[in-house]
Amino acid sequence: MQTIEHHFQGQHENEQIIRIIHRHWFDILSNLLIVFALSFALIGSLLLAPLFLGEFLTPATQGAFLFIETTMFIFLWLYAFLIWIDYYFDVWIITNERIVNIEQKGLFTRRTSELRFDRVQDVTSSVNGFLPTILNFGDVFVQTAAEEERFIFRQVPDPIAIKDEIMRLSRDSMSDDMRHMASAFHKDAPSPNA
Amino acid sequence: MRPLFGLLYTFLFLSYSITALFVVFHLLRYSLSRTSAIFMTSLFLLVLIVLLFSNAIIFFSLPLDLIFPQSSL
Repeated sequence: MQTIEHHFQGQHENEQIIRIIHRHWFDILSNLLIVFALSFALIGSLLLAPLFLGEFLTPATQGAFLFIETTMFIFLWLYAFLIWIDYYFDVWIITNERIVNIEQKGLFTRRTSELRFDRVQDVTSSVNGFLPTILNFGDVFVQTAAEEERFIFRQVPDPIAIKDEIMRLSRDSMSDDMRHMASAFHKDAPSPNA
Repeated sequence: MRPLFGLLYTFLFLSYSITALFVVFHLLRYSLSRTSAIFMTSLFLLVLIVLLFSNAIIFFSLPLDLIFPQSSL
């Protein structure tokens, strides 16, 4: 079994991380487009201002212009990292015991939920649309045994592989349970020679 | 006029700094690997410090009396 040298809060002692899943890169790219567009606009205005506004630019207005530019760059840099935090810390962790979903919304909302493999009943993957089909990303729905909400992996890369991995781990977990039950039964059952 | 702009700039600077502190806290506290936490925090702080430093230098060299000559602030 391939394991990853990472660690998350609440990880059990012998629990091994099998896979860490973030949303597809297209998701963060679409969020960062506004940052890229504004950065290009700022750099462009910085380069083109002397050409077009040459006669209006006194040392005083030039200083004010530069001050506004750097202030905008600081805002963009902070905003880009807020988007990054929302993306990078919104994560699904598949371990040998369970699935852990850490949901990060902005800076102040963080929700962690988990699902053990023995609770998994059904796993479905869904790829909808032109770009998701081309880039191979979509959703994975994990139906649990109880009347709980479904576990949803949103906009993840290669959803079919993730679905297969969860199904495999769920099957392994069930066969482990069956083995434990069988060994417990054999231990408790009276010996035929007795 | 300069004290008022100074006050406004201090407020702006504090806003940047508090947001940056929260970002650094998240990067260090919730990263799944130590290496990526250190890399992301270093990149974030390096660029931010350069930007903040140049922003402060430009602000303090602004000839505010020339930019707002008739203001009574």
